Amino acid sequence: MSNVRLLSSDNEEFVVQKEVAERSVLIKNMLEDVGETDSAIPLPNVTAKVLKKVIEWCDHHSSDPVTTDETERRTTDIDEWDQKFMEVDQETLFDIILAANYLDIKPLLDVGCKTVANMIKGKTAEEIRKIFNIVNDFTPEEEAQIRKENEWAEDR
Amino acid sequence: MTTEFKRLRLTSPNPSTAAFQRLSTEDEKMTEADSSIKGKGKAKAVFTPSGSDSDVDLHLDSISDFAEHHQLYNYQRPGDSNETGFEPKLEDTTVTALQPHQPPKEIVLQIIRQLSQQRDLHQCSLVCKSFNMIINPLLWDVPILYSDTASALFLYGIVKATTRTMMAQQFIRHLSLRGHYWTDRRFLRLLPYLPCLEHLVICSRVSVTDTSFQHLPRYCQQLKSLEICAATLSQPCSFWALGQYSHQLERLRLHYCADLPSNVFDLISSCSSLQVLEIECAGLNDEEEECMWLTGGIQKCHLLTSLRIYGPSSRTIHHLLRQASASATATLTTNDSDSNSDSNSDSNSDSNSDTSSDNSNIISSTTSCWPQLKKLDLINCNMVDNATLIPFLKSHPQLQELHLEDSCFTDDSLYAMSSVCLPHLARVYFTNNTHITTDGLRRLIWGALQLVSVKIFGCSHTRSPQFSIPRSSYIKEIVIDQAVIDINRLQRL
Repeated sequence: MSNVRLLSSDNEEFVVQKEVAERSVLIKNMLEDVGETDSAIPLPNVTAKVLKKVIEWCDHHSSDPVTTDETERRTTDIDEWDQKFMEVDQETLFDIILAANYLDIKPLLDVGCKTVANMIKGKTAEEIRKIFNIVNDFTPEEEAQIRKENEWAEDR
Repeated sequence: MTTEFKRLRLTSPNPSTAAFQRLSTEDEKMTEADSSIKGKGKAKAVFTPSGSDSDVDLHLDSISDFAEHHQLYNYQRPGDSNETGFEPKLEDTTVTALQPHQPPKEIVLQIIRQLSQQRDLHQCSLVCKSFNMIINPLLWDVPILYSDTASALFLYGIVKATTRTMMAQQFIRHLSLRGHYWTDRRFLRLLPYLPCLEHLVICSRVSVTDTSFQHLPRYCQQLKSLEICAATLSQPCSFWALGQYSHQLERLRLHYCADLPSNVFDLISSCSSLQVLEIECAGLNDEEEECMWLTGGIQKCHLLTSLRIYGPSSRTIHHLLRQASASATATLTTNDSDSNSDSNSDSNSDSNSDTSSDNSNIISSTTSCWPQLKKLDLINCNMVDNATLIPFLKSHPQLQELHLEDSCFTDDSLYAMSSVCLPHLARVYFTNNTHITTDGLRRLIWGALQLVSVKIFGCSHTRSPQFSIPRSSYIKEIVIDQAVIDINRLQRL
């Protein structure tokens, strides 16, 4: 089994098995384009801290079958190992999601998005703003207006 | 605290970053335009959620006049169907650029797609302008109205939202109306806001009648499926309108609708895309007319894949099947005197049906009334005998499911269901037939190789099968009366 060298944005090098690294479609395509190479693959968007987490995930899931069915991917629950894996501070969680997006690791992106979605469930708009670090750009009148327009969705 | 996102966004190859400047300037223009419209709308509308029902309607009057005036700007023409795809087309709308320290738009969308509760979507839509633009299409796509209060708020909301952004009405594609709230007057008020509606369910207890229903097809010309339960629709004008305007309509289900007009089938047969037709009614007003209209009407629906008719008399059902196969065989030169007499006169059709079974057995045909028909579900088949059924089966080779209640055909019809004639037949369900026997059943199972399920109820000459089944059989269930046969215990040869 050949190894691949990955270089994080802060110049830390990771040596991983090819099949683990190929969970990332971005890396897989790169390897296919470049062929056998000794030089490290630079990943300028991912820090060492995040890359370590991502590699840990890829290693655990290296033998998972690849699911292309969109609805199946969306509806399956997060398994126990992934739940534990995602028990990180919020900043890291978003970093993992962004890295998964950049590296094109769809199952990891799904797990991340589901974790955040679970955090949103049952929260108010103000609480969601805090989670996402978002500034409310509505005027109070605008917000009140939308609240009234969508009020039907609140009722059960 | 915002550093992580800021850094990643600046370095990410996300195209939305590049578009940031352009979008923000566009957004400023948009906001200006919005506020001028909003000003007008607000002057007329004051809403008091705690107010009585009439209060709501009173305010709605003034708002809806205004909205109807303005909806011209974004009314979607019937041809623009590709604009209404489920995926919100973010590139096409003037989305406010996300604030730089936020996660990218496509990530936000991915997260939001995981939310199934509309309450959560509602809260997200209040977070900020960019969230609002992303969520609105999802929130309004399938509004679920749990109560009369929700229905009232929805009607208020759609009028108001359309007035403000002229967008919401384009997003509504699925709608179920339930509860006493929906009366003709309110339904009429709602209709102009549903130009893109594709799926409508009108549940029982909704008091929508012909008065408002006749206008539905004109407003909702994108309608693909319509399901109505226990509504009183007795005027031809309602169904005339469906035939005139609902050219996209593929599925029509009418459950327990009393007093349907006699020519209902003829009127809806103008819906040129109709594939699934399910009608359960208490029988039509006039049996003579019923027989004529039903047969003539349904025959015109050449795209039908599924037909279920509960209600019309056994004579009508008999006639329907005979006509369906008669029209198929008309192109062939046969000596079948029966099909000739049948097309000439309705009243004589029963008298010579028994004598013609030999003739009809030799008919084989390639054209048929409903060449795509996969599923047939009928009750009141008391007069459906071999002479009627066998030609029908032979002219509808795509049949997969056959559900016939109270029939009088014999084992000969079961032989005709073999794979030679019906290569896709997978499910059969027969009740109250005193002619078919256990032996016929055995030959059906050996003959129809794709058969998965056989259910027989109240057929006195069938017993639990003690026979073997083919090794290659796909059969998964055999139920005779209440007894479920254990397939694994049957010998496979």
